[in-house]
Amino acid sequence: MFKRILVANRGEIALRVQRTCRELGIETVAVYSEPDRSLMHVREADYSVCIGDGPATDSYLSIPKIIDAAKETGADAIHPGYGFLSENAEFVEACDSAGIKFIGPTADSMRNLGDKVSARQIMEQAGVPIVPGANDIDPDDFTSAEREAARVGFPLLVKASAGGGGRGIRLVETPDQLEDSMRLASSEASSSFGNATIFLERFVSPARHIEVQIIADSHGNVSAFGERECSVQRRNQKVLEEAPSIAVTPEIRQRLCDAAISAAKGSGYQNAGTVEFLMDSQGEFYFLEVNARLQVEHPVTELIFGGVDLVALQIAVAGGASVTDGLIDSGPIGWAIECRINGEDPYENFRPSLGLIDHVEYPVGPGVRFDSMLFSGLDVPIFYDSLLGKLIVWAETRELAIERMKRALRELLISGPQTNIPFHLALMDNEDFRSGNIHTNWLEQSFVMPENTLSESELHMALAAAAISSSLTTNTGSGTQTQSKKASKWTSAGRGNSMEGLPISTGESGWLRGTR
Amino acid sequence: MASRYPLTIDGVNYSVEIDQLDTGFAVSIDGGDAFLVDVALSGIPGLMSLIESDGNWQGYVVSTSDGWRITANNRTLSVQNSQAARKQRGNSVTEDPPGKVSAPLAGVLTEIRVTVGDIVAEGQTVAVIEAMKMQNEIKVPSAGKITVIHVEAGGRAEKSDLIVEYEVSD
Repeated sequence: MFKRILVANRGEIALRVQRTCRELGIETVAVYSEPDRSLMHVREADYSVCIGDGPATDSYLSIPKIIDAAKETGADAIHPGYGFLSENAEFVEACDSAGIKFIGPTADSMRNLGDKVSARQIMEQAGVPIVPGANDIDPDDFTSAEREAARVGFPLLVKASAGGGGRGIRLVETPDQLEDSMRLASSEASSSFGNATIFLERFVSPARHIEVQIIADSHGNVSAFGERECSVQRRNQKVLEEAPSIAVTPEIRQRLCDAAISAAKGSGYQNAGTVEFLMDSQGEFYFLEVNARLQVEHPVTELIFGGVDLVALQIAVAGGASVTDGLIDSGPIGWAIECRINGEDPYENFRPSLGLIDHVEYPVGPGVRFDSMLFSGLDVPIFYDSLLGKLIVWAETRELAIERMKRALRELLISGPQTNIPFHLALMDNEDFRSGNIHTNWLEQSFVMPENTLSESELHMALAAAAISSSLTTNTGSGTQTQSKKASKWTSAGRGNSMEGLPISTGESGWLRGTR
Repeated sequence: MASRYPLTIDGVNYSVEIDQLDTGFAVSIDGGDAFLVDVALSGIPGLMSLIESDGNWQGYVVSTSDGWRITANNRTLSVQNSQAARKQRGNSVTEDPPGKVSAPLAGVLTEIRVTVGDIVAEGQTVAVIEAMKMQNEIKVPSAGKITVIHVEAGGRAEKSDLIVEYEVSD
């Protein structure tokens, strides 16, 4: 087992990994950029090392700085989290040559799976269903491309082999659009990814995004932990995930897990990974890609598989432990939903909203988990993504999980930036979502965010609060009356604070608030 | 002692009158029936709980340059003081004896809108005083006839200095 693990990440996922390390008796090393100095992952780690300025390229994406930090602190393993360097094969090689264990797949399998054309070839050989398509299209040989396209059928997608995150993809609806799309996709791929290779793929639509969590050890065993449904997406970004999927029967689950296990074995995969599939309305599924890391949405799987700790499994297999080969049968039990709580304004087309968190109250109670970087007084740095936390609930059924999520969303009070909580609340009440009638384009095509209207009672209370706040801050003392003799001691004490003009927060001077 | 606060939400103006009673605050909006709210603050500045017979409310209230930012029910709302000085003026006006209008705050008189002998209506603006880059209208609380003007345009007035005197009409 490892003695000291460096977590090469920030925010909620750094905390998530640290928590498991602490439970396992492993010391933690945090790395941080200068603006992240006050973050929880920095304060709570056993050791912390500053690795540079705010922009990620100067800090969280700097391989030499992170390797130096690990050497300096005597870390014997690095957990990459998700994003940043988590799927960077050069980083894995740098860890290997520094004699530090990288908690994740090998550099080779990362490279093979990162390239979409080579991943398709590996899956085809492993007998994993792939989306019908044509590999290795020469962008200059339009005649053969046209023949291949006719075989694939329209509409189809032209994709960059090195693409990712929804970039480098073009939809071609009719044959006459093919030539232009190929040229554009190829030049875009060349400039964005330094690799002009493109391929064609049938456009499966409407489709669900279904993915299977796997853990592979170094002895050839692969465990599959059922599926997650991640069809609620905006701009190719997942905003809500759940497990299991309403569209997956036990029979489909078995086939999905078998395919995912074949995919892992076929690519010599090790550690935690996610095999992503597109699934059509008939329950036919096709390999999409492998995410060679821990996913943002891993907690929903943990909750329906008896609370299994996927990070602990990652650390265990990185240390040489074995896992059960096959579909894990301790789940799925019940239903889990995760809402990504982002600093963005759902009433302003999801414009980013960042800044000082004046106050936050965490949701608690039965079946609620909140993996978050939030604390009162956090000034959310502008350099990184808008994910503030992940609210995850578990309940016996999907219906109960939806109601529990609504309850937890209402309990989560964040003052400061606007968050997308009103969006998630609207989603929980949406008929299509409730009936599970969703696909990857559903959110952008069909969902309408309700107007931001205040009920009369909300309006009255806000006006009362503003007027009372004005009164408390301007009438300091002179106008106050003696407390009622009729009111109870506790009521008087509570109101007494307000009567005495307890200072109301003033934004930027947050740190001085209440100190008088 | 009731105080009136002109507030604006989403461009709509409201007049909120609050009166501090032994049992809480009586709140009346735009002259409507008053409702009673119990107020509690806690050790967390800005966190406010209101209890009212129709239901409870909790929110987080932060002062901004022009009013308040209130977060409640996971939505952030901006409430502006429609006229920052009106409430203080309201108090001053009620404190002024009949027939006299004094400055609600210290400032520079940018405008005198009346001359001696003018007949003024209730609520008519007689002068404008500027303080902290804010223009505040000074109004007569009742109708009458201007008899004395104590200030000149461009001159400075301290809080409570007499601005005009007038003969209150019946």
